[in-house]
Formats: sequence, structure tokens, C-alpha cells
Amino acid sequence: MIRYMTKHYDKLLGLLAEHMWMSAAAVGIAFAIAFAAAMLMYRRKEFALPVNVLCNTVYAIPTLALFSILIPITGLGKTTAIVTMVLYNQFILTKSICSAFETIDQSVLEAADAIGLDGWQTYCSVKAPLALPLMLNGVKLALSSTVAGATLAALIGAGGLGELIFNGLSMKNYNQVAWGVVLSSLCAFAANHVMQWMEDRALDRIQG
Amino acid sequence: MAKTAIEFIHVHKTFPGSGVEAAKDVNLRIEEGSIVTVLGTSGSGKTTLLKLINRIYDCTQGRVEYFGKDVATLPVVALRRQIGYVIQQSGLFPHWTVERNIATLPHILKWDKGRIDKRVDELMALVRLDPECRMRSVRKLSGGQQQRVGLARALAVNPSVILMDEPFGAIDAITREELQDELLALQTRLKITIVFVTHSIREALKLGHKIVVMDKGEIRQADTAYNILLKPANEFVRRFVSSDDFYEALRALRVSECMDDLGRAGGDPRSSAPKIDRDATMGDALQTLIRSGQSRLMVIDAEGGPVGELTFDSYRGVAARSEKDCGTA
Repeated sequence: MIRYMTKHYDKLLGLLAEHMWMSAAAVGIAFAIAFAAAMLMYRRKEFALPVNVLCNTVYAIPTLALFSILIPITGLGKTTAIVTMVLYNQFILTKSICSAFETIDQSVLEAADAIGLDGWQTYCSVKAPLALPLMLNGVKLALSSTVAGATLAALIGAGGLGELIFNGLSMKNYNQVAWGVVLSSLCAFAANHVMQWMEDRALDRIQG
Repeated sequence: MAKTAIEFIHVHKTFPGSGVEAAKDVNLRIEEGSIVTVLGTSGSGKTTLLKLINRIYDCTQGRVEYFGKDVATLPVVALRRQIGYVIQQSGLFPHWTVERNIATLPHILKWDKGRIDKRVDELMALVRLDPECRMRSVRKLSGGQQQRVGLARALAVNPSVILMDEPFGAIDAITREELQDELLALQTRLKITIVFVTHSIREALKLGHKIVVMDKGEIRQADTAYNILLKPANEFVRRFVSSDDFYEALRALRVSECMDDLGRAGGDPRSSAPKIDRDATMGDALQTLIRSGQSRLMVIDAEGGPVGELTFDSYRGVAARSEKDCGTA
């Protein structure tokens, strides 16, 4: 296994980097969309149910099935892989962003309004910091499931660490498979830890 | 007559969808520099009344005037910044320190750092907060201390009016008394106008220069503690404030309301009669009277000049009236 690494370290690193940026891009885009959706649900309650139903439905579609729905539209490769991960993440992220804002103590918001903070000031100095820990918690869950799921992207030629696993399996090169497994697990583990650290910091700030 | 700070003019408030009138033809004048307590059970519309002032709610009919101007015509954020607001759960920002909470508005108004620091110092001294807790998170404070921070925050930019919605409701009895006494002292010093909502009769009578008794959105009586206790305007007020305990009533009545004014004879400042402040409660005066072993107290004003006298007859008067009222039950 070590020999495999010394021989192919450039390939391993390349795939690791690819895997990481693909996951990060997927979660980043997913967060932007989920944030907008969650704000809509937070302000206009009538949107909450339809958005939830939609997210649940998409989440229930198996990965390979979703790939085959998307490939005719977005083709083989990274686009499809990222779109798939973005769609799955909506389930986790809209829920966590929404509840992050909904669980803010009403008396705090009432006071902010009553002492003369305008909407934007309340948002920046009260709502956002108080909602941050739960939002980060959502991002943590999304990121670790995405990093794990991103191995499947190799099936549609999108690269990433899944390539080591699937190619290794077909060529019976188990050293390669092992590296794929180890690196993708480490990657998920590291992502989880970084996010946990950020979440703890944010929580510390509001619970001091 | 003092200037009018706030005036309700034929105010009605109905919440959309409920049909219940939370305010029904409310007319009320609140003098500048006075404390008005709004007393009522939950659902009586007392909090609604408060929130109509800083436009958390808008009147369905009628208008609320703030120093002569209809609040509906004033820019809402600017209006709220001139009106301090303190609520029961304190509403402090849990992610901020004591200092940052107190300086909420100065920060928004972009005061420079030196001015903010100085103001926070002043305010913490004013509400008697230990300077040591300045950098502490507000979550770590006791309920009483949180209310002090809330009050300091409300006072930060020198508001002319402070609205308080059951601020001491969730605080233990001893601390509550303490906070009430300090609020009174602070108000006397700053001459600020306070509208104070409470469901505690004792608190309303103790703090209010004027007490507004609310029921089902209507004002049943708006008067001094003396008149509310001894001349209730109607059956509702009489039952609401009726206290079997004579001493309870004495705690709420002020000496100045029950004393005999000095007649033509005038008072002799050299009289040996023990002195009592006109703003003391009748309860305190009774203690002084009994301890002195004499039959009369000389009532003095803040400058020490005699303004009246208090005898056991004054107490008999109070007892007779409250008994008479109870007798009609």
C-alpha cells in the first residue's frame, strides 16, 4: 500500500483535491440556494410546506436514479455530479437554516424591534449571529454526507476519490481501492471536525 | 399643569382576525415626568396600550400623541429610539456582553468609542451594576441583574419616555422590592416619564403617580393610589383592588395624600413633633408615630419645611373609608 502511494502520490493528491473541491462547491452552491429558500419559508409560512415536500421527494430518489434523470440534461461529468449533490443537500440545509432562525428567542427579536433596530440591523447584529451555530451544524451534516456521497461521482466520469475505488475494483487492484477508501474517509472525518470546531466557536459566542 | 408626554385620544385597537377589542375608546393623558402604572389581568389590554405608544401596534381608530404629535406621522425607528423599552424576559442580546448590550443604540448611532465608554460607565453606576460584570455575558447574570442591564440599555440615549412591560414579573419578591425602590429613586432623579405595565396591585400602587386600571380593553379608572383605594370609581375597581388588609393599603398610600394640611395657624418649624417626609408611605409614618410615643407627626417637604401634620385621626379616616367601601360588598 505504501509502495502504491510513493508511486502514485501525484495521482492520489490530484484526485483528493478534485474530490474536495467538488464537495465544497456542491455544499457552497447548495447553501446559497437553501439559504434563499429558507428565508422565503421563514418570512412567508405558506412556502414552508411545498418547499419541504419538494426537498423530501428529491431526497428520496436513489443516487443512481437521479444520475440517470440528469444525464440527458447535463451530460456525463462534474456538472451532473455537483447538481445531484446540490439537490440532495437541500433536504438537510433548508431544514437546518429554517430552524436556526425559528428557534431564536422571540423576546429578543421583540426587544430589538422595540428599541429601534431596523430590519437590516436586527438581521446582521441579532438574527444572523444567533442562527449561526445551527446553520453550521447543517453545513457540517451536509458536508460529511456529500464527501461520502461524492465517491459515486466517479461512476459518471466526474472524477474524485471514487475513481480509485471503482477502477481498483474492476482491475482487482486492492491497494488502490484501499487508498480510495482511506482518503475519502479521512476527508469526511476532517471536514466534520473543521465544521464542528466552527460550530463550537459560534455556540461559544452566543452561550459564552 | 405639567406638559403632556403621551395622550391617547379615543383609541380603539382590534386585532385582525380576532374581533376582540384590545383597546376600547381609550382616553388617557400621561404627564411628562410622571410614572403611570397600567394595572390589569392578562388579556385586559394593558400591554396593547403600551405597544400602541411605540407603534409595535397601530391604532385601529383614534390616535396616540407623543409630545403633541400623532405617532402615526412620526418615523417609526426614530420614534422607538426616543422611547426606552424594558420587558419581562429582559430581551437582552444573549451573544453580547453587558457593555455591548447597554451600548446597543449608541453603537447604531455611531457614537465614538470614548463617548460610548463614558456613557456605559454612567449607566452602570445609575442602575447600580457592579463594574466587574461589564465584560460578562448577559446570560451569566441573575434575573435582577439582567433587568438592570435592560433598564440601562433603555436609558442609553436619554429617552424622554420609558415603557416597561412587567419588568419585574419574573423576579423574586425581595429583589423586586429593591428594584422598585431604585426605579423610584432613579425616576425622581431623572424626571423621566415612565409607563409601567403590571398585574401586581401592590406594585402598581407603589410605583404609580397615576394608576390606570384596565379591563377588557377599557380603562375602568385612572387615578391616584389614594383615590383608587379609597374612592374606587366602580364596582370593578373596588373588587379588583379591595384588600382585606388595612396595612396593605397603608403601604400604598402616601403621607401627602392623607395628612391634614396646615391651617392658618401654620406649622412651627421648631415644634418638637417628629418629622416625616411627605412622600413616605402611611405605613412608614405609622411606625414612626408609634415609636415616637407622640400623638402627631410633622409632615415636611423635600426642603424640610412643614407642610402638614399627621395624627391618629388621619388613620381613622383611612380606615373608615376603606371599611365603608368594604361594607357595601
